[in-house]
Amino acid sequence: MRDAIITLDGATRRFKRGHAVITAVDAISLAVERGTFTAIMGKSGSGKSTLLHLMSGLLTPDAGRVELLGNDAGQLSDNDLTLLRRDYIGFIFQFFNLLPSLTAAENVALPLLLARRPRGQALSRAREMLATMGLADRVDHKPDELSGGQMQRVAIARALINDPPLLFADEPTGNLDSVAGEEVLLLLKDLQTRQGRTIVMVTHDAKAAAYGDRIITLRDGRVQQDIATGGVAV
Amino acid sequence: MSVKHGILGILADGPRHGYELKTQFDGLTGGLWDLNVGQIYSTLERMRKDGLVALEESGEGADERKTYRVTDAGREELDGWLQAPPLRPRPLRDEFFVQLGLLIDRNRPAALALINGVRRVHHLRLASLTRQKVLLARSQERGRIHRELLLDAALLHVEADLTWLDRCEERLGALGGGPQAERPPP
Amino acid sequence: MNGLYTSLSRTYLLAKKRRTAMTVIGIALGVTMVTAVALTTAALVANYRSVLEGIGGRAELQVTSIGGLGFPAAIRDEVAVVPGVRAAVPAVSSGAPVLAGERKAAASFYGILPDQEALVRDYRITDGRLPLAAGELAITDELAERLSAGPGDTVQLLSTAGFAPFTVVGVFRAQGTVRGTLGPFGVLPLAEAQRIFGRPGKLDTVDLLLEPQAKRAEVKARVEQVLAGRARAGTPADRARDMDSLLDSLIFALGIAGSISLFSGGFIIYTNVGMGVTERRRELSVLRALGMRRGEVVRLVLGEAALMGAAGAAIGLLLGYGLAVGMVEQLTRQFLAIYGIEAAGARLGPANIAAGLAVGIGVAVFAAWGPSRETVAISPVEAMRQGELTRPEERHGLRRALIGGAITMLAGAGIIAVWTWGDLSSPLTRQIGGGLLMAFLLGIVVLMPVLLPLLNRWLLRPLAQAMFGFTGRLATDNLMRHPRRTAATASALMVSLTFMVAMGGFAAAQRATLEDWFRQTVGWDLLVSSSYELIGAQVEMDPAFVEDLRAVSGVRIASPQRFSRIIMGDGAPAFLQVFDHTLLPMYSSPPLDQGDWQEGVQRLQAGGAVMISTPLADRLGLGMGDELELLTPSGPQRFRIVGIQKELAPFGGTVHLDRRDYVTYWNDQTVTVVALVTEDGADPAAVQAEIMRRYGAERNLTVQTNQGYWDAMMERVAGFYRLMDGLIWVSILVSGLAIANTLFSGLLERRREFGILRATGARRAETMRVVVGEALSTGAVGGLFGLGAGLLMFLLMVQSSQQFNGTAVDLRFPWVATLTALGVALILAPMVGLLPARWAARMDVVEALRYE
Repeated sequence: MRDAIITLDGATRRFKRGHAVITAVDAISLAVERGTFTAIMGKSGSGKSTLLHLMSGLLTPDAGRVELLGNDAGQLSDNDLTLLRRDYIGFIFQFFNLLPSLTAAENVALPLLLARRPRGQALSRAREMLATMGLADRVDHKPDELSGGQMQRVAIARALINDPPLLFADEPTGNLDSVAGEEVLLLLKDLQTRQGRTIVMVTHDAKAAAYGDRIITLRDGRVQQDIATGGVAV
Repeated sequence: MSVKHGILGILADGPRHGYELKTQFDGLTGGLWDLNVGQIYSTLERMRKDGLVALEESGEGADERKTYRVTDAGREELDGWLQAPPLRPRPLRDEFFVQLGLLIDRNRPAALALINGVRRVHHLRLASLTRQKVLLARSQERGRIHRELLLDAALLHVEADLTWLDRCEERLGALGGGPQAERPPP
Repeated sequence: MNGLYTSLSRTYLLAKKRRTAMTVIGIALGVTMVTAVALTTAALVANYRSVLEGIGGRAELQVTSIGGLGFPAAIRDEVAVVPGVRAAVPAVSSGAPVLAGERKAAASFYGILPDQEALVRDYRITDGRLPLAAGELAITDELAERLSAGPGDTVQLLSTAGFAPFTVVGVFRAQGTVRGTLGPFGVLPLAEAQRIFGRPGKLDTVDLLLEPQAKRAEVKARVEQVLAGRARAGTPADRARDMDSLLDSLIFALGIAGSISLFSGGFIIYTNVGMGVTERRRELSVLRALGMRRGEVVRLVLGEAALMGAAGAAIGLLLGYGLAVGMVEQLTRQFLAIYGIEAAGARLGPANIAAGLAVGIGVAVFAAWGPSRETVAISPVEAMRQGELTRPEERHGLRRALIGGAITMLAGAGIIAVWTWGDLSSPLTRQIGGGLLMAFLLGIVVLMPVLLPLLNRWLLRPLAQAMFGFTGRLATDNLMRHPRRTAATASALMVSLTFMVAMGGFAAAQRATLEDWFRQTVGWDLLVSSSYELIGAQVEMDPAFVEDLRAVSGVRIASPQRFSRIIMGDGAPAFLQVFDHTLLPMYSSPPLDQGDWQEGVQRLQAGGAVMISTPLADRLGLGMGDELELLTPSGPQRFRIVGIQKELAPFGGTVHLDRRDYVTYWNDQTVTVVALVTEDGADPAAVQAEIMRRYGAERNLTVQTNQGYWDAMMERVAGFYRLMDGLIWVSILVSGLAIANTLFSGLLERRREFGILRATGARRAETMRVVVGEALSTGAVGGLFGLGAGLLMFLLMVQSSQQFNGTAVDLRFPWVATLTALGVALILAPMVGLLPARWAARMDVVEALRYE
């Protein structure tokens, strides 16, 4: 057994929808090993996003335990969870979620700036990061001047600026055309295989999930299928 | 009969012997079309009888090789085929269709389990195709576009199969587990 | 189609409850502001008007005295026979304190002829009858209640010779033509009034009723001929000019406050409704794509705006009424009490309701019109596409800068021109000046979005960064995304602060000026008056009493002083101050703008000379050595001007005269106050006690110490500014709430951005800092512009104070007002931001990320 970076033990999360209580994640137990690429699949409403949020500490479980980077997420204060996210976790979202008032470089530097690192240093690191993403000529553009693929690469650069060992991607290709989507997936695959980062990705696209070396399919808040694709070697 | 036409196409660039033909055919189909040398030779023999290719023997003794070249009739056949769309869509033939058909009314849980099993196979297939794609993308080799297109075709087909499996599961799930009690599985 | 509209609107408004609520609250705040100020002003103006109406009743012409001392009763018989005059009804009036047992009240009293009175005024008697015989009195129900007295009870009226007992014979309801007489009052037989108020053989007014076909102007001319300068004739409206010019200033200031409120309230509504429509752009485009015509979409949006406008207006009317009653009215009462006027309460009338609805609905519809036109102007497809990133506001930078700059410059130049060359005592000029001031501020508002980016680079960003680090910078950048919205929100605060700085600064400068004057001029130790200083009703004392006071041990000087209002040759009033100049120089040396005090005193002692104040000299176009003609009861008299005084009393100019001249020409020996200087070593407090012991009860004296007088004077000045302050703080409060409201609405729009911040590692405290930083920046913009405009206005007010207010004010930098304004901008605004900030910090990250 390799080193687990995330461990869920009977993790449960419920939501209220009107008067009904929905169990979005129903007593799921699983472990994510360091350096793996896990894809979480499922139809909308299957609980896959909630599972991602639980795994990443954006949500805490109503019941059960979530152990994240060696911490019991349920026991951490909001501040500690925030710091954990800031320093050890990167997020990539479907809607890119860039701040429209900031340039690409500033968006990338955001986590560093929030951590009160010197501005010049933060921005030059952001520029380097963008250059490695092939966006050297876009550093001073505002998000509305970038294409979808470029925006997502900026978002990935932002997720990586703190050199986090753990990356979460929520439908990262959902808003991209297939070519841009593949580029993003290749990038993620490289981040795993060449840089040894752990990636957890939610997707409803089987082709995207095929980049993972483990595919977990959810149904009604439970794990329906957990497939090891044996692809770690690539 | 596209093996025949594939061979004609390769020979149009110049004479080849049997093994060369096999290698180039694999390249053409991205290795997705399992074909052995025997099938190549039997096809070539049929084409020779039909006058589409001619056999040229060269070398002596241990060096002796059988080389094939295309005839004028072969060229004509190739040109006609290249420009003609297929008359029928690709046939869908899968043993799972038969399995499913037999299980639906007899044992629905077994049908659902089978669907899951098939899905696992498809996911593994997708993963292996994706691996090839990743390797291809990293290799930066020239002219990889054709292989990428073929891999995409395969990926999209498997994806379609997976989508269909989801639908099967959904429809069967909606029916409930009725027929199981009446007839136990054979 | 109508049914569809309603259901679409209802669905939208209910689905976006928070958005709708914020918009309605925004409208409500705007209407609150307008209503509170309007009600306060209305209450004040109504009181003011009713004074005038009450005095005149149905009279079409009125004969009044020149010096405020009455005129010979014979004049009534002379004017009664002037052709065109149907009736001449005489009256004597005075304010006096009245006592019933332990209860005290201040009231106006009218000496009337009961048989003739009904011609001009209606009395609705509820109990008893009008007074007919000596010692009888009728009072309003209000006064009866206050004194807890009814028919048959005895009350004491303070007269020139002390208390006089009266029996109440009637109680009437103050209404109709007498309601206006304002607050509590009483009537007594004319002869009695002449006796107790020291006006034997004299009248204060004669109300004239004209023959139906007579022309008023002609009759007036004929009456004036008969009067020959012994008294004057005027229409009741002319009396308006007799009122303190300070009241005029107040009405003007209230008018400006009303404009501010309309201005700020309008902006608050505009911003909120505009945001709502912009946010809905995509949804509206779907409707367009589905086949709704442009006009229909616009109508739908405007209908919703009107609906929200009506709801907001309803809330705003209630809040505004509450504010007016709870806070502002209190201040009005305090202020009016100084003038012996009891304020009627604020009333929410149909006109206010109509105005509130008009402002709420009108501005909301106007605000919705622009964005809704913009929405239907672009193709629906384009509008639907811009989902992810809101397009930045279109920038008409240059055009806007030109328009804004032009308005600001023109209005600024206009203000300077009016202030420099205009006649600021005329209401029209003031209205033009006020209008220009509004235009000037409007120009700044138009200009502000263009200036914001510059301001951001040089001030806001460094400021926010220094205070909140990177999150602060995020805040200012957020604001810059909507320069127009930011400008509109900051404008409300700007306008409020402008007036705060100007008024506060002016108040402080005036106080300092008065302090200087007081040190030089008021050298007496005690001031004796037979009056209730608090209510302003004064009763003159007889000269013999001055001698009595001189005899009190410890008194070195007893100096009689007589003050009254006189009408100058130009028909406008002035304040007549009469001193004994053998005594005055021993304890006072008032500052002169022209002339020498010692020399002037000698000339005054010699007789035939006056000193006048600078504004009066300017008004009449007279200077040193010129002759001033005064209308005296013995006919016009000419006096040589021997000094020009600095003016510090807001009574439209001062005439300073020697007592001997006054006694000669006015034939009046009475004394308003007696200034006492105590012997060296004598304790003023002991002397005060002694005087009160000997004469206090008999004459109901007030003896003020030097300090007490200063305090009372300050109280008068403060009363005015407290009222202004109240209104200003109401508008600042509403502006602050508007900032919070706009921030809230902005947060609703940008929920996901806050989700991203939180997800990428911003702690709750840091998220709060972003929002507080936005509030701070908005406050700083409003504060900066408000401070600038306020200082400018302050400068103009000080420079024109002499003409504007009738009093001179020395220029002093308004530190306190400046610091207060800065405090509001840099401390209050961020504090207001805490509320939305907490909401932002507590937002569920996952929810926020999902928010579209």
